[in-house]
Amino acid sequence: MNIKRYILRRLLGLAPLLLAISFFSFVIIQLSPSDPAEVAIRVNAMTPTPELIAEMRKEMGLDKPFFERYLTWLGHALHGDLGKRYVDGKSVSEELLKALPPTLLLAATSAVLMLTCSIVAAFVAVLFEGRWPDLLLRALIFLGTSVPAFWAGLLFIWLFAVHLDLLPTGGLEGPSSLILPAITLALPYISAYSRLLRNSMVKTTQEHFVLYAKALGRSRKAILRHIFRNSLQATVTGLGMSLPKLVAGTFVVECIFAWPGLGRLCVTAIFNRDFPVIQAYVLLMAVLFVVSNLCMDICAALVDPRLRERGLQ
Amino acid sequence: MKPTPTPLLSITGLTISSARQCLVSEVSVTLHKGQCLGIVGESGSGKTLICRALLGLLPANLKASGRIVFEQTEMLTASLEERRRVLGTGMSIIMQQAMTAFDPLYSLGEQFGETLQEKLGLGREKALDLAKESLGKVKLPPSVLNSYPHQLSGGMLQRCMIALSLALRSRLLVADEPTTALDAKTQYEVLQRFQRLRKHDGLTLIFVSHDLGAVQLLADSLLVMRQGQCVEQGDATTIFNAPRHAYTQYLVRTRLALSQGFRRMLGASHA
Repeated sequence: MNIKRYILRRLLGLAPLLLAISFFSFVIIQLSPSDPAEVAIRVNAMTPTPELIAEMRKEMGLDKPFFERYLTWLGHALHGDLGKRYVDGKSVSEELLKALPPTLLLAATSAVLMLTCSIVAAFVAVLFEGRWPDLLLRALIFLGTSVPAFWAGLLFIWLFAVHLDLLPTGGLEGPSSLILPAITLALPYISAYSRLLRNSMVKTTQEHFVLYAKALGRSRKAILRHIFRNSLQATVTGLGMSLPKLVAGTFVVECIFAWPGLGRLCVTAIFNRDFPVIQAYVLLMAVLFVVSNLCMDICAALVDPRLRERGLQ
Repeated sequence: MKPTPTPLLSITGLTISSARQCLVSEVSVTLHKGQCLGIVGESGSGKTLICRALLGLLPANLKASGRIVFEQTEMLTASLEERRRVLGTGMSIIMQQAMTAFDPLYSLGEQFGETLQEKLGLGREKALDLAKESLGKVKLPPSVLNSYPHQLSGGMLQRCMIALSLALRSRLLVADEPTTALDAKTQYEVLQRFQRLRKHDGLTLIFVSHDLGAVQLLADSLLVMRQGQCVEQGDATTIFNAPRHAYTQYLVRTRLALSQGFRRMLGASHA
């Protein structure tokens, strides 16, 4: 079948892209003005004398040529070894794996929340187009888009955690602590996707095939199903970028809600100039973006037969 | 043709207006089973609006008054549910825009299947058998059901719409400018197909066109529209032989020049 060939082709195209990503995430860190050897010494509260630096450079392999260093790093990375943290010498991969589940949990909850709310809001807006539920939703969407997420998060803490004392202010202690950060994270996306989906659906309503379906006396449910599927393309393409952004963008929310996730790990690493961690984080996020985009492209091709053919030409 | 006592469709004093102006005024017409009504007029004369009012699908900013009675249903005042029962099985349309009339994301088989299942209460297998049978009537192979709309031509998609109406056993078929987007040869084939369907399946037809030559081949009675007004109506032969209104006279005169090609083809196929 068409779709299998399409997926295979796209997977083959993935390999060079991933290689390029690994190269750039390595180069970007190398371009940093600070000397990793010096940093590694400083974070352990030692004085970087020239002898010590030279010794450290040798120990870290920094005296070797650039490409050799890259290939060594890539080889280790392929085996799941992303180096050791400067701060405490712990394995970067292990620390990332420890911080990943809370972040994924938060991002996944937000994604589910975002999709559910956006789809429901879009349907309500389309069914009541131009009447008060549509207008109310449009106002809420406007509000949700303009309010910065971190400020909304602080307001939520003040209202629900401090004032009403219903939910914890932060940390990860049971399901109730998930509610506020997930809402805060999802809020701007809910607004964006409700609007995107609503507008696509309103536009699709004007299509000739909808008129024809009405002229055939088809049920409202059947017609809505056709409208919905035809309105998905922009949303699916957008999700390819937004889903990894939910993971990458958690650090503001994680900082506000003291969430023990990837974002906080990375922010701490940036303050400490802990290069292996930053490098690994950049690599992980880039891979996440590429893979998520590919998944969404495949979803789009599953929805639209015309894309499948174009992908094979 | 001897008229049966109750007409299949009767339109009385149909007026369609927007907030600012009157777009169709005071159109009255009756149509009996097995007849073909031709609606002729230039673009913007209100032909398509009349079709959409028949189906109860006028744009929300337009208002229709008067009466449209199809069988026993008052189309203008009927509830959505009542109208839905009539549409498709009672009355169906051949859309002007064949290329975009089907959902591009579903194969024609899926669209035929779900429509026939829903409207006729058939099982999936039976619905697809019926679809194949009616596609045969418009000379399309069953493999069309595996295609997506973008893989077919406009002419084929138009035939798919006709096949769908046949499968639904629509008692009235409204064809809105079915020949406009086609070249002369295909136009002729389409007209011949409608003629055949009328003969074999006793189809009742409303044929809308700005081309009098095309209408002449099919219509028993005629409604000539201009700028929302009905300028002349009645028996088709009478109007063609002795048009009274200046606009109809003009149409008949120009039609003779345009339809030379048709006549030659008709003559060739009859010989």
